[in-house]
Amino acid sequence: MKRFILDIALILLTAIGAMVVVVFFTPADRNAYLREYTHKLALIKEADAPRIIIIGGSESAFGIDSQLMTDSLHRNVINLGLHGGIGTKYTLPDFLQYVREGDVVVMMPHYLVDYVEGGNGDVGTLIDLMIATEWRNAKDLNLKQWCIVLEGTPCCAKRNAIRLVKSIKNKRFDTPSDSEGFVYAMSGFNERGDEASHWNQVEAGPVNVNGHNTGQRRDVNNEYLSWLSVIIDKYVAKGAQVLLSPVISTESQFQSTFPHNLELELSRHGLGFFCAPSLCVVDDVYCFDGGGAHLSRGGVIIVSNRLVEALHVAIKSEAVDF
Amino acid sequence: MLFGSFRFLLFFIFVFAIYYLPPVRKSVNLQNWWLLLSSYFFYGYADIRMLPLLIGATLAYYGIGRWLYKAIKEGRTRTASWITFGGILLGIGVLVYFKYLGFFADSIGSLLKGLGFAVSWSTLHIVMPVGVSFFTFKLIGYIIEIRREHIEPCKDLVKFGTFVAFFPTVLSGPIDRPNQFLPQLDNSRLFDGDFARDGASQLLWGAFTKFCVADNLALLTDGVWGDYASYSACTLFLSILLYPIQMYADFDGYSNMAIGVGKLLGIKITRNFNHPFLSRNIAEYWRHWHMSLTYWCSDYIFTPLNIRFRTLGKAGVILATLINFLLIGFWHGADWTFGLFGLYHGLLYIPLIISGTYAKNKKLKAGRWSLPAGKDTWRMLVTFLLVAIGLILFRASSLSEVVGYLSHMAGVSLLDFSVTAFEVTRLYGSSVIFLVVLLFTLLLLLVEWLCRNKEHALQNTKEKTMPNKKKYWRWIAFVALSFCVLVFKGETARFIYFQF
Repeated sequence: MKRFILDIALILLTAIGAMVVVVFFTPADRNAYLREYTHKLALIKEADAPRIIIIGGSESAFGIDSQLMTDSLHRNVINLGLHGGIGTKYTLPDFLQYVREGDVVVMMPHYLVDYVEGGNGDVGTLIDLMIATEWRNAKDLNLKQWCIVLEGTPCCAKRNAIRLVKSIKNKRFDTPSDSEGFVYAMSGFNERGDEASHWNQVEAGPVNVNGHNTGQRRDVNNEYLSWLSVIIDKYVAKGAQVLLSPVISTESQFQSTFPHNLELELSRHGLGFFCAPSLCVVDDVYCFDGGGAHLSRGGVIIVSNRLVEALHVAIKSEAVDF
Repeated sequence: MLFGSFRFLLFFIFVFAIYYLPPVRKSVNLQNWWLLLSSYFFYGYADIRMLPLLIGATLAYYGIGRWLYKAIKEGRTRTASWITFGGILLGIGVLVYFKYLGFFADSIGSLLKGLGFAVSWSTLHIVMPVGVSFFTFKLIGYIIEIRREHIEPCKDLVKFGTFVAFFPTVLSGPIDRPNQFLPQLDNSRLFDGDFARDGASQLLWGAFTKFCVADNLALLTDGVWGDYASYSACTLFLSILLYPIQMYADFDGYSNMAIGVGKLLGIKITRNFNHPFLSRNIAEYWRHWHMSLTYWCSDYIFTPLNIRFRTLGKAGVILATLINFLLIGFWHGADWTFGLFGLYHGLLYIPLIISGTYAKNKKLKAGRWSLPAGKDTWRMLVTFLLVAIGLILFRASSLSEVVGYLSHMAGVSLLDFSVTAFEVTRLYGSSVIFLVVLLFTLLLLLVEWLCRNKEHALQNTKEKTMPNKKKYWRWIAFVALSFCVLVFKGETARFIYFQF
């Protein structure tokens, strides 16, 4: 039996070794979408006061025009939204160190990855972020996040292997991951952190949300809400005003992802959205892609204007200051 | 806890380790107890609500089996027949209640409404236990085998319980026969290196076909079926051609994994597939597809019916075949589409029955360049196409969907490959990914042909006498397949046959 187990172990270890080689030794995509994270960090470090900092996933990256908001609110709006799959348990503590007194922080946790699944990130994104940021804050990852990173390793290897095949085909070793259709890349972001390269693209129109299990009842993760409450207190302790925001989405995306008891559970933890969730929801015709999560230019303008109005009220109001 | 999941891996390593511990492996009873407990845990993990049903059915059939045998031994033939009838009825009753009652109620309701009666009953929502079609067939087969005096009833309840609930097969088969399975539990299973090696390689091949071929093809077939009206005719046709391969890779992959796990525990499980796409007619196809079900139906449904109708000549054979296939169709699910699927295959048998070729089993031989002969290739292609068409009925949720799908496929864009290339790229996110999936599919089909005389692609009966160079190539193949399973695993985490 020893020989048998040794043989199996040897085969598996060789296969895992090959996978690790593909993950870590494939030439990096210098323009990878998640590499923008480093730029986001530079933004929050260096942006001038008075500031409005928006922290969210790709919904905010693809759903906000920060310049439009800056011009209306006369505050420096920076958009730190990048990818919901990173999980706010990674982003919120990381951005906390750069928050200053007087900042207005608009937090936009993802309905599924954060409120339902607990904010530890999703398989296939967290590992990519760790590689893109050269394992920044790896020591601070919790056990669940490490499991997600490990589980995501095969996805990362798959993407790299596909990229290698493409590179061989193109005879260029810096071929990006997305080279067909719309390219999700670091170069798509503007100086305020908005994904602006899609603003001149055609709207995709009504979306197919089959992949999101429409109608499925989802319960909020209470452990996450407790954690969120604590991290908000830390932001407040640094002198920032925190506004918890609903997620920007199309109608279909909202219907398929919004947890049924979210507002009730938020209130149980002493939390609440600074505006009605419907304020961040636009018609399906403004869908750009992402199954309804990303908005076209028309949707971006509508949502940005609505947020400006809501922020005008909220920033002045003491009631929403946690 | 699906095969291939991390939880299953942990579960299996734990079961395996305890199973071969010296005190356990030296005692038949301890090994059987351990298998039974593991199997109940596995089944309960899938659906804890239905575990009492599985245990209840096991106890009932254990008692029925012994009672029946007693009646046979005492020469009470009439009583024995009634007990057998009761046993079969109980199994059918369980199936009807959990699987077909809602369907019957809906169908009768629709019929009455159609006839102008005012009917108002709400649709029944009965939760179907996982694997119910598989374990009830096992139990019915057990009773019939006792009645036919092919076996004696199992005296050891633990052994019988293990036969019914054996975890590699309880959810999705293969449907084991008691005379093949039960004797294996009579002696303790010592670790047999060659048998385990064969099991591990079969498990690996099964994992490759399931996770790399079936799950990746599912992205295309599910995507197209879910929204067929928005795809071109050519893409719809491509989906029809790929669906049989996906289904085969899915179910054969599952079966290979189940058989492999069984072998690792020293238990040989019934074979379920024998390269069905190399069949040259529909009769040959059904002899090689889901064999544990078709042989079960052949023994317990077709043969008795055939004997009953023998006075009718070929018409009797046709009638028996049509009934047999209608039941095979409905076994898959409570829907008219499944019934039509069975009937369609039954009808395809008629020309073979009339020409007297349905039972012929001519061995497939390689022609020039080790390829199948031209005539055989043509017949294989026609059979494949007939199977693919039949699977439209199998896949569709209603007859209107079948009509809708076919009418969209009859569009002018049937030969527009450029639109298909665009649609497929959109589904996979990249044309390169689709090419890799296509490569896996072609590898599967090539291996089907090259390994047609083997039970599975990686089977090796000459490992000890094999030259070192060949051994290295085998190792490289194992590592490459393991790498593909790890890295190119598709995202569909379901087995098609779990729903049955």
